[in-house]
Amino acid sequence: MTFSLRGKLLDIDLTAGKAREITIPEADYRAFLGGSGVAAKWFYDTGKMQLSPLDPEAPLFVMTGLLTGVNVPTACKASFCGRSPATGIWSESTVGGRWPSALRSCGYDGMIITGCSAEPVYLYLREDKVELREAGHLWGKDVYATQEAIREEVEDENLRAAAIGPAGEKQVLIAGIIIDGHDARAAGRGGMGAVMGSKRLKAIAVSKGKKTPKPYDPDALDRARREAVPRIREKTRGLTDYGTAGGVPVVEKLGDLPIRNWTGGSWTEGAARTSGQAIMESAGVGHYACYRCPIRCGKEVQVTKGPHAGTEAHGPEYETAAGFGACLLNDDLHTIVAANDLCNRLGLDTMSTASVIALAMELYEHGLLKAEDAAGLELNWGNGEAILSLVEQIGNREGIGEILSRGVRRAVAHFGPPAAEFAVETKGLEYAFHDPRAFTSMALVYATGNRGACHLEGLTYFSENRAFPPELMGLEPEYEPHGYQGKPLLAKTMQDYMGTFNALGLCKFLIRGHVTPAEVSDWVKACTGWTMDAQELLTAGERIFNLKRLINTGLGISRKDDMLPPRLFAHDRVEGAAGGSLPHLGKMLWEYYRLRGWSPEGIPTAERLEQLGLPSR
Amino acid sequence: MKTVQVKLYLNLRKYATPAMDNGQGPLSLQENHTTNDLLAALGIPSGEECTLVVNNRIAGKDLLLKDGDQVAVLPPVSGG
Repeated sequence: MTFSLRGKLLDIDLTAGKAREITIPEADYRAFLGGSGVAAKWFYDTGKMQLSPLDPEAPLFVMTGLLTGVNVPTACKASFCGRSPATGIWSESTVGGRWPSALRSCGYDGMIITGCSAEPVYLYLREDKVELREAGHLWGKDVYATQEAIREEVEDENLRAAAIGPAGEKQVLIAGIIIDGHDARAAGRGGMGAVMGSKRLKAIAVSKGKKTPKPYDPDALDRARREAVPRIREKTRGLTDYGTAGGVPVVEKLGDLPIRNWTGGSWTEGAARTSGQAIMESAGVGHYACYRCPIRCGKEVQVTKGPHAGTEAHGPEYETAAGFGACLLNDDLHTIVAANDLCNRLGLDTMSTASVIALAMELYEHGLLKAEDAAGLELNWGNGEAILSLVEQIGNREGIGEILSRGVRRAVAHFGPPAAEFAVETKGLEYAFHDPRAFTSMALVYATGNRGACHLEGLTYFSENRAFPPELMGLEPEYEPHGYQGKPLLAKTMQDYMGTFNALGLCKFLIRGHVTPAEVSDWVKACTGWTMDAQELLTAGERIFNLKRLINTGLGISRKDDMLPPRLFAHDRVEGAAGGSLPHLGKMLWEYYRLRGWSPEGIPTAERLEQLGLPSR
Repeated sequence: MKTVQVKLYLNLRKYATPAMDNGQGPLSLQENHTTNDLLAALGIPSGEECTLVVNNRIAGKDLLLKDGDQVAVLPPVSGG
């Protein structure tokens, strides 16, 4: 039986205006699964890692996962991969919604985009067809208007686009790629929107085809799905009702919220006012599900503030609610809703944008940034007017937004000492809004994350608070809340497991539904016909994680970079459940490297690379 | 007897006693009662995953509670 899930890959040269089809060997799928795993393999093999991320010849990989579009729960993801202009290292930004499955239905698994068009263009894909179209008339439009304009142009009201807004066009280093127009799911992290902008590629538009891959054993897959879906629904009911932001009051109580740029300990009333429950009661108008998703965590809301008041928009996720809420000491949910909508329209990463605004507010508090430097804005904590104005200035690189649009690390370099005290980033990527002082295994996840301070590469706070019980991974069931024992193995194990999800095209919220590696490997078997057990799946995840590390070590990354910022390493929250907790990163890192088979300097050893079938540098 | 102040979060509000308002209120316990006894008194089954925070500190299931303690009972929810 041939491997039926393989589609074609498009090799697109925007300088020449040409595209050709290539095929990924099945061996690459078996070893790296697909999605960002295969992208890492091909990126490594191109030998183009050293190119500046915004060099025209720097490749941008757009990859669906191995299972994307197939009838597997949450198999809806695609990843934008390459070298990040924000961090200078490996980056992958993964997004759900409906665009990725539409792309795969055209018979393509993804594309490698190089070059730079002389004029703005967009890619238009249909079944087995791709064309480059002129996009001068779209340049400057926001993401929503871009998709609408392309829909009218090609006369397909169901067309889906992955587009950049003005932020990506202007190569804002914290610009993301937004898909599905108003439905707005974001490949936000790492500045991949700037990479598209540097190539003058406004959008990748897709009209749905009929070439979604067929599973090898549809009956087995159907049985597995029927067994999994009721459990996933039951265990994720909170996400269904209130979205990810429903967790805001809970994480506040656990000392996990980044209050006032990570300096605060408690914010109970504010958390209640900015929770998913409050957002849905005050602004909610509906729910939204990604393709093949039984969870339905997306929310639709009414915008009541800012330049787009009166419109409907995608609701803020947890990260956005925590960033534009607690991190900025803003307890007005309507400002959060408006900031989220503005970021989506402009094509900005909400997490990095909120982080860099938090930096600006703390600089202002300490007199290092004055109102006259910010067009007269009083950057007091919680000032909603200032927050919305800064979002627009960042997205358009105007005023103080020119400095802030470069992200926290570069903004700190501009303002000089002691601004670094207020910087919360690792390897140049701003933090996700879960505190490693509350869940100390997250210190390792952030410090060693291949794209920088990423929560999704490990998600061990789910394990520590038993949203995904660790014994499901064969680990100890409980951990000392703020201790370090056992956490290196927890971090490594979860990183290896989570590394398979972006490769397979699955949503990581499946683990909230207690989906185990054995279950995922059964899905892979039913879809591909391969023999693959849970251990082989986790080994593939470990291989993928190590290959990305190999890319990064080639770019100069080592133990010196596997760090936390001073604020999360040495600054006590004092109050609240995480008061008094500081992560023992040094102790954990030593054990973590040993488990990984890396040298004390954090470099993968030749022996471990060989075990994983990876090239030795 | 001792009385603790309980706050139940999200779906755990279904275990609220009649004396509670919106999942929040007093609960009377025996002098020797622990956090585990509190869960039993609320009727929360042992299979229901939850985290306890007592006086703003994460607590184990065998912590002896004191009169006036503030107890938050949290489901395993952690945002996104």
